[in-house]
Amino acid sequence: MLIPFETNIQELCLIIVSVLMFSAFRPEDDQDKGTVEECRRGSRKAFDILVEKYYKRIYNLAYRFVNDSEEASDLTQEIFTAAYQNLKRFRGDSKFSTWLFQIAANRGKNRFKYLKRRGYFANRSQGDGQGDRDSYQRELPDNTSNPENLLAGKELQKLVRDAIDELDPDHKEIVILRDIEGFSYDEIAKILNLPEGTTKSRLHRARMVVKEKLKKVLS
Amino acid sequence: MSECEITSKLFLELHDGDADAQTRAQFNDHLERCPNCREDYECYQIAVKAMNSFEPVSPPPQFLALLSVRLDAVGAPSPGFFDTIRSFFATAPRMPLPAGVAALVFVGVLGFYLYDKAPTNMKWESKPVAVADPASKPVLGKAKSPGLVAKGISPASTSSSGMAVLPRPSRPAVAPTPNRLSRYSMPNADSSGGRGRSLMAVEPTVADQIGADNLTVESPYIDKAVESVKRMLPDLHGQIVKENARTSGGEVLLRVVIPTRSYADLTTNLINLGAVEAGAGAEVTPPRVYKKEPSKRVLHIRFIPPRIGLK
Repeated sequence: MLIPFETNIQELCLIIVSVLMFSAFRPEDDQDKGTVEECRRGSRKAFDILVEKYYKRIYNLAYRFVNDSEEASDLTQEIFTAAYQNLKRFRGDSKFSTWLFQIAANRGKNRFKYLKRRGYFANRSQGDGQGDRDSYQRELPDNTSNPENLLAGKELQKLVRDAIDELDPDHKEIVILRDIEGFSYDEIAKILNLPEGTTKSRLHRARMVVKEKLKKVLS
Repeated sequence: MSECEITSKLFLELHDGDADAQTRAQFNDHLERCPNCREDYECYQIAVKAMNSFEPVSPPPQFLALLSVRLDAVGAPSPGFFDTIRSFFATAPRMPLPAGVAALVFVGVLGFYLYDKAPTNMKWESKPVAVADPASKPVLGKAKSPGLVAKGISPASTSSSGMAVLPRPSRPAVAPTPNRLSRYSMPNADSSGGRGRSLMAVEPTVADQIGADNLTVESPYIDKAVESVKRMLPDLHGQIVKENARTSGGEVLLRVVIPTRSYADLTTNLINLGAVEAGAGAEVTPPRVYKKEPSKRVLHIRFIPPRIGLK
């Protein structure tokens, strides 16, 4: 059957338009794009480069969820393993780092829920001495070197940390991303796939909860 | 909402420094007057400051080694078909958005232009709706005018293509092709008079050479028209005695023998379908008697492509 001339032209135009739309509306440049493409083709070496670049930050994020170095190490390995296995599902419509932190936030929140159900944080709060966690904590900035102030600072951080552990997972997640890890509102919105306004309002509610707990203790 | 509630909602905005001067002034004014809100805001700031002061933690020294072992155990994922396609597009050079939109618009305009200018060889003309127009019924009578013409065509309605297909005789007659046919008069039929007028004055036709005992069928689909006439003839007990091959001008000529009694039916059908023009000539003569069978008549039917410029 002879294909009409118009149909061929229309099909050709449709293909060209599709290609142009795909090219025009691709996301902004990602510095890791080339490395990610190599990973997709099966390069383990390329993935090691990405691990080297992001593992410290991912570890910090994981640590804030679980407050334990062993748990954090295990969680971080789980995050990178998940990224390695699911790299082919990464569509490239966002930066690789955003996608990686999405995995980290989801896995961290899930791990936090799991541990909280098992009473992990309650037990640690009751029996917590100085431990290895406090050795990582710096005192609150204070103009004096008064030991009492230093102790108060450490105590305060412990109080705040305990208050954060008592938050619900969504509030803890956003407090970790913004106040502890220092992500911008725009980055948080992309990681959590939320509007920026929702991000801010959620952060405000989380801070208010921490504030209330702190206020009870301080008063 | 109380003033304290409004103030507490501004904590984040004030702490981030995003509030305008007026809001900040109102906020500070309220804090001066409300010790509870003042205490709340101080605790809020302490809490945020404490969270901001958490020092980064370092992974254990053997972390990368442990991770490498774990990844080796998992194994490398194999790239799928869609990954290959996706990687092809991902490696394409990035186009700035304005250029992409401009290219999109250009392709869209080009596509519409080409579609509009595309050849019309695949365009199908819609067949005319079969509507019997009493006014178009031929007036039958002795042929005083040269040949046969159709009647009842409204000059206002124009169609440059003529009739596409001639149906079988059993189908209802359709409205005649407009604007090129004058009143019809026919031999051996009642006629209200009136002379048919030649429509062939523009240029000489084969009919001029053949004579008046012919019918001219104008159609853009000559093959279909010929087939229609061929299907029509058996019902009228007619037959084709000669068929000339298509000329360079696209014309086909059929020499038809048909019983005298069926001649009127044949011409009526052709006329009513609006596909018939008159043969030109100063005089009109009845169709010739078929010598082999005197009860039959010889008729030439000429099929021509649509012509323009005729009234």
